[in-house]
Amino acid sequence: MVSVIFYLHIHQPYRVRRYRIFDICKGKYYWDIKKNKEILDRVVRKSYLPTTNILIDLMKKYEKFKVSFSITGTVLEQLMENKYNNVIDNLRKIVDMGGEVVDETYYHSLSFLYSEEEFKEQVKMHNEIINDVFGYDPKIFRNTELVYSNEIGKMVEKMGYKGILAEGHEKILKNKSPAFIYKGKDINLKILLRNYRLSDDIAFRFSLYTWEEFPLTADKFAQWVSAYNGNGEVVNLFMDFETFGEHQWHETGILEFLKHVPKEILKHKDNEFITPSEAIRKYKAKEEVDVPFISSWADTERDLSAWLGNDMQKYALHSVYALEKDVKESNNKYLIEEWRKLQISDHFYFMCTKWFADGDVHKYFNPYETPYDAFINYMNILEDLRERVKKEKVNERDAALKILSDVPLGKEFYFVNGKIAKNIKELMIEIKNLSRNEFKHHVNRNKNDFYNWIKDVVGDDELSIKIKKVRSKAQIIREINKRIKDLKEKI
Amino acid sequence: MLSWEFPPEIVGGLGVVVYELSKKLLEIGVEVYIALPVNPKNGDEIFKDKIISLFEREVSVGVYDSLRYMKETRALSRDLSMFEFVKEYTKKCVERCKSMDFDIIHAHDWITFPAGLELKRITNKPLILHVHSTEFDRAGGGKGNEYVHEIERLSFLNCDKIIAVSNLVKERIVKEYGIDENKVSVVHNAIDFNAKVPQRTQNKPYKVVMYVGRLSWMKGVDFFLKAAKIVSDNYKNVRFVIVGKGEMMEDLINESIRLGIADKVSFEGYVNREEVIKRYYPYADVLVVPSRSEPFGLIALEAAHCSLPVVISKQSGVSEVLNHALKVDYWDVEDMAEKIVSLLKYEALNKEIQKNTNKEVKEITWQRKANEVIKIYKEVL
Repeated sequence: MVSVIFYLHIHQPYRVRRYRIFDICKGKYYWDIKKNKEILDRVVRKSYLPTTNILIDLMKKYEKFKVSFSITGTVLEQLMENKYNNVIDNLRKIVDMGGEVVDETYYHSLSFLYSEEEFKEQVKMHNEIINDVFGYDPKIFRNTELVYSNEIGKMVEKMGYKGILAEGHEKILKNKSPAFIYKGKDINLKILLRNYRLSDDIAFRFSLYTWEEFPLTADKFAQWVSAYNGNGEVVNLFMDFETFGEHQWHETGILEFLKHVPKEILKHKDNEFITPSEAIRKYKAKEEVDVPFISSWADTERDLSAWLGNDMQKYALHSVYALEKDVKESNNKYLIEEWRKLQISDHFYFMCTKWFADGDVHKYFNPYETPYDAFINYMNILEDLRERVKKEKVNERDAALKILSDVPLGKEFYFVNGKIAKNIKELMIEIKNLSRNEFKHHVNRNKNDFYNWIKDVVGDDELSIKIKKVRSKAQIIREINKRIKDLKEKI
Repeated sequence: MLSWEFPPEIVGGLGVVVYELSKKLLEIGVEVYIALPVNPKNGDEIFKDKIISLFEREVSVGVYDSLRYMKETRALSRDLSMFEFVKEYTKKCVERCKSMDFDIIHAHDWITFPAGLELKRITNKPLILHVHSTEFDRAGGGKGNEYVHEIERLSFLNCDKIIAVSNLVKERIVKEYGIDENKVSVVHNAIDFNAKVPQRTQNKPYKVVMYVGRLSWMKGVDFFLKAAKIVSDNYKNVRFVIVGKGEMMEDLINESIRLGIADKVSFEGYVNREEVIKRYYPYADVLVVPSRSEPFGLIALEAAHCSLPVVISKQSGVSEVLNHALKVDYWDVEDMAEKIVSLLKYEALNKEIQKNTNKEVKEITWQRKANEVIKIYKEVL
């Protein structure tokens, strides 16, 4: 029995615009709206729409055909912003017909390397948007660039996932076959290893006319899959969704190939298509795989050298994560979002120098003339963000100072017992000294004088909301006291 | 090999190229004789008996300055020492060489072209012209001196093959002189760097941005100053060091005052090559080559060898071989400034470029170039 897992990954980054050193602190927008839309339009037209249509037809036609996918938050957002409901509806149909959605980081980031907290938050964000859009709660995880290590396995299992996708490379397998289900070292998380030979036959070699197997036909490919009967259980075909129509153009015949390949594979009665979740239920883990290093599906090195191969990339990544604390403390939703978009791994990929000298292989994906331009541009933007965060902090400090300071003459709080408070600290002290009746005079079913004064005169909305409905003297004192402490921390 | 300069007496890249190329050719086994105005003072063993010195007494050639001579040729009766020199060189060279046994004439730049043509006429041997710069480049984009331009044009037409030091120069020959592009091959200059690379200067009080070269209009040093102004507005602790002399010196000093950065710019005057490598490169953080037009630009290769990151003008031949240098249009001073600031600000970028240019420059050797030249020799034989 051979169970084929056909899994596609959908991602588009937010590309940044040309951002010169002179643009820092000028309030210039970071994102290249035009280019992002241009590329999205093209990919939708050439790949997302025609390919999802084909997949739906195939699932209708062949009961045993199934497809799984993951989709990053960044491309999902862009699809929604640009009203590509047709693509999203198609993906929903695929899910409704039994397709599985796999979780990942919302921002296609390398956060797991730098901040466990941020990684978890992004995975949670992704899980939420998938629940929202597809009504599906993923139980399988795939990390950015299929990165896996023992440590990541532990982290992901703790987050409640049952399985993870990884690269089925010799570095991990050490002569074992990728055609079985494995599990992580010392954990129960199941690992599905990509069959990179068969996957790359489609993803990279399909239109490579110098390849000895060129041209690749559906029945030939099906034979290769069927050959696993008797010596394997799963054939994991994992690739970029854009393989169909974008990386491999329509003209290469890739979409025709896709239309025919399920039929050819299913001709063999022992073959079937299943989802990752079905696979880990159906098959036992053959054994543990020990991955004490970082492995990925990228390049021949199967590592992260395309993102972290040089000092510029390391520095840029280090710099963006160094902002985490300040950005999060700002509590400014907008700043946090900008910061997260700057974590998209593509930004760092554009700074890769390892192919630059010897040609254009990766140029297609790179909007910059040189990796150095990519670095300079990115660092300028990061500096702008850093300044914005700093300003936000200054603003917070100013606001805190203002709340704690004395109100203008004539706007003081006059207590029924004749006492006067010029600021919230004095207010708190005087409240303490109030008798039960005096307190009731100010706070009762019909009014809350303290709330009004704090809201209208002091201008502290946060505190006023907290005591608005409170009728207990002790609790009001507690709230004011806590607020004073918080504000003092900000100064 | 016909040349009018040879180390140590050199004013530009030509002499170095003739020296390095001939040396490598000799090592490979090509019999090379070099016709020079005078016997050079360096005592390289390999050149023993290979130098044909044409003038008995020392002649001072000086710098050929296209802009200066442009007007003067219109009135041919004036003092034309440069043109007199060319006439003399041609006469003596042909006299001495016409009866020698050789297979190829290889002439470097217009001063030796008439001698090359005359020798070809007499001996019927193939003539290769090696073009380090054209009059068009030297005049900074204008036609330049009509007489020189015409010498070049006629030589290009009548020779057997042209070697240009960059695609930039090749393009000029094809476009400005109307020469068939198949006649022109490009052999980029190279560098065999033997000098010891000194340690970087530690604990400088500020970062240093450097220019090294002649202070002429063509070299675009005025753009360097304009960029320097923007750099100092965006990066506090920085100084600019200008090494070299030339007719633009006074203008440039005035310009630095006008821009309000005079206190940050130091003009060092002429400094010899050893000194530049030993004391200046280690002191700099960035080297800028802002030329309006630079047929090649050996200095960038030298800096790369010394692991000094370079920002080079896209209008330079050297930008064709240094992939990892930062490149700018010479007139885009904002871009130039931004790249300089980034190199000062981000150690990671500076290091990465150091590492990568250093690696690629080591592949640009005279051994390779000599083989390319031999291939061209075989074509004309």
